[in-house]
Amino acid sequence: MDENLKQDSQLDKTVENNIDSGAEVETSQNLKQETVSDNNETKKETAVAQNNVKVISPGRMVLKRFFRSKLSIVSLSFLVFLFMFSFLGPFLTSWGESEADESPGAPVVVQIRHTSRTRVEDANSVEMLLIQMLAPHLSDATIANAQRALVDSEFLANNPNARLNNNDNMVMLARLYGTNSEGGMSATGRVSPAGGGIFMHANPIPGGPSITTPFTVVVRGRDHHIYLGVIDEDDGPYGTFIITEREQIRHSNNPRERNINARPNANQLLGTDRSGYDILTRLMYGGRISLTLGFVSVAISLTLGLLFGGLAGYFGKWVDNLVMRVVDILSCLPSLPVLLIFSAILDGMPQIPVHLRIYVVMGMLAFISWHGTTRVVRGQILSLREQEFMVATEALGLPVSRRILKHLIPNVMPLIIVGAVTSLGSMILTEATLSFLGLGVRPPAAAWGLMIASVRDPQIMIQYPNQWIPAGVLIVMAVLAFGFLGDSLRDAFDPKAKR
Amino acid sequence: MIKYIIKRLLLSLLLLFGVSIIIYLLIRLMPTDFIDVMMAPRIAGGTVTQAQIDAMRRFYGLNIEHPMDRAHNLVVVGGWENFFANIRSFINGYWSWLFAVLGGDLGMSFMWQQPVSTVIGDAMWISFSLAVVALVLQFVIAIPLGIYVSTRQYSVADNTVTVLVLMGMSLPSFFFGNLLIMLFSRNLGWFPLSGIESGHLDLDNAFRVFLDRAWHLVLPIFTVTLLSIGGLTRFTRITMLEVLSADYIRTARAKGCSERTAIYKHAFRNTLIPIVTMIAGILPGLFGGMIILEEIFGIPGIGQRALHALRSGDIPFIMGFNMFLAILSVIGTLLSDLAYVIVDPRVKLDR
Repeated sequence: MDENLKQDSQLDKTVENNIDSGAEVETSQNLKQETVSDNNETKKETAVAQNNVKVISPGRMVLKRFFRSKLSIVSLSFLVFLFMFSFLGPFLTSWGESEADESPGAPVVVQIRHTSRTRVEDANSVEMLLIQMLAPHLSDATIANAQRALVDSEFLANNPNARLNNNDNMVMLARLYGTNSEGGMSATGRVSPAGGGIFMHANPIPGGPSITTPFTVVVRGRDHHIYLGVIDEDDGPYGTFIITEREQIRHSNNPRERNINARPNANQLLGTDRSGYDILTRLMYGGRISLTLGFVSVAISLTLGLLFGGLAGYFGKWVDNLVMRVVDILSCLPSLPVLLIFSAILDGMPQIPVHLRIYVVMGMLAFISWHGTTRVVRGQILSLREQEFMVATEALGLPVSRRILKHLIPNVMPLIIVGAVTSLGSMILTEATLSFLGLGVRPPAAAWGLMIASVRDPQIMIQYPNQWIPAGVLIVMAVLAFGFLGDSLRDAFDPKAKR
Repeated sequence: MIKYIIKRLLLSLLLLFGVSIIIYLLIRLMPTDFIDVMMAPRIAGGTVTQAQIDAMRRFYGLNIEHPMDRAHNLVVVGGWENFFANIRSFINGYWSWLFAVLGGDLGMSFMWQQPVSTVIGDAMWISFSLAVVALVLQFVIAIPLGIYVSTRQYSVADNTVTVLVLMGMSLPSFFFGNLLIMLFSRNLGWFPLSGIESGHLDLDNAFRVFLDRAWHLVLPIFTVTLLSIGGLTRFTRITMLEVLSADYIRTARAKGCSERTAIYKHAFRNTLIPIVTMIAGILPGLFGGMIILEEIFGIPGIGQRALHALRSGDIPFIMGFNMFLAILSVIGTLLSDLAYVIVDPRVKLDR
């Protein structure tokens, strides 16, 4: 082993032996159990045998203290799960990140809990109960399907006056009317073709100045306005009025016939969003973005902080002054407005291709946060510089690089590691905020903040919580796990912590 | 003391100078044809014509000669041969902006067609009222809570509070705000959805107006307070733990002080000292508004205006607002240093 390291660990052990904590002193019982795994410690063992203490390196001591606490194990395992979920999960799902579910979708029940009144003028006049489906975006194939199904069913045969009609934007899939023997109206029809159709059940009360016609309509997967009207065949439309109430209808805006806004089902465990993408898969890809952005930004910010903080703390005088003034200026910049300005600049640079945008965002996040790390590193180095072991290294005549690399940096590392883990959490929050505002990754890429942003549509907020709540829960749990990890690490690194 | 204050003030001026240069550089890098960039998809889609956009620019004064308008996009006026021309234009632009500001003129906002200082001044007080109430609540709840759990370390209360506090710090504000809106405004209907006043209110009855505004602000204040309590509780707890293990508390106990006096008289005062240093971070938040929360809850404060301005490229407002926030930061730091000196008699000013 290197001589200096041996000296260092000796020094550390002596220091630790003198501390009245009792945590590092092991009884001879444990000695027997651990001797086997620590054969390279035997030399030191005999050296300090008279103290009856077991000696392990400081790093392993930290790990031991770390795994003692349940909280740290829980948070670590959650983070491992999160990593596997984000990076390995997409291989297990059958959907891609921006792959829309092109199946026509499960039947959407359109229930109209609303009674309409139509006036029956004359029992002898021809009255029609007309149901028109306004479906401007239906493809021709679907219309043809519906019409064919209507023809195939017995409906037209049973209602000789029912007709199919195409009319600009409106597809009248069925027109039904009839009079019963009392002079009132009866209309019953059951149409459910494969491509989309109407299940109608109309039950007018015969006679009288008004007819109450409650009915239920089941339509498959499209956006509809449903008109109920009474038409006098000779005089044209008597009146049409919309009887649907948006709040009571669960429908989907589906111009391209995708399976959008689906509820959780066997195919898509969390349902689909308003473009037909599978939510669970997008959560995984969003996790990739969050974790990657977090780690890379923290790594960059850490490197810059170590570099500049080290320079400032170690060399002092004008270097320290210069670096600290720059850090002061950067810390006065308001972070969110500056990030927004950066994004505007990015938007104005068309030469940056879309997939490079995320790296620029990482750089932006690192730029915002590196001044904090610099301050912390500088403070720690300033206090460490005057300690005895540093004076000893100088007295021993070690070169500067070795002093910094082998003695100063390892003692700065605990603080840095704890700070890095905690700032990972806040970096994930910042990234989520950016993508919520639409400034991080752009759709159709997935990001957790972007998924929460879909809540701007009040329909989605109330009726489809499965689209935005899971992303928020994942963000909270990820940041929480990093926070607990940072706390546990800090307790593990601190030799004076109470057990 | 006076010498110290003067020295710090001069340093702060230098700081602000540096900050203004950086912000000005960033803003000059923003594309001036921001409106064109924003409208490009709509022009392509045919919903807006170029003639309409030109009319809009004339209306907003984007073609009027204004110091800020002499901005060229530093990147687009491309090529190294234009490098010196760019630098000269940057320096000219910066000087004219600086002289204007020193004369009190922060420029004319494009979007609102009013002086930037008026726009900021009008909208600031709404955000201020929201922030001040949240601040008071935060302190009133977090500090006693922190002290309470620090005296009962490792107990059930301590662990629960630690977990809850950490959870509060992990919640994204937009997620929590929307969750509250979903639960309380839409599903339960207890609180209004957005905005700060109901339309049909009788404006003469000031008390009613006040009540109505308070009712609108309950959810935002609740969100802000809950999210900020965590940090303060944690900080108080850690500081209190440090203080309680100090020698003078041990002496106080040895001299026969009751535990109550030891905690609330001696330890508490010493805990307040580091808390005073938090003033630096609080001041910008107090006047600067919260951009995201105001957007979610529809509060017409300064944060919402800043977001609109940033999205539409209202350059004078952006510049003015950022400088405003930077000035608040600097003043906050200065105040917190001074407060530290006043509160802790051990701290000496000369280094």
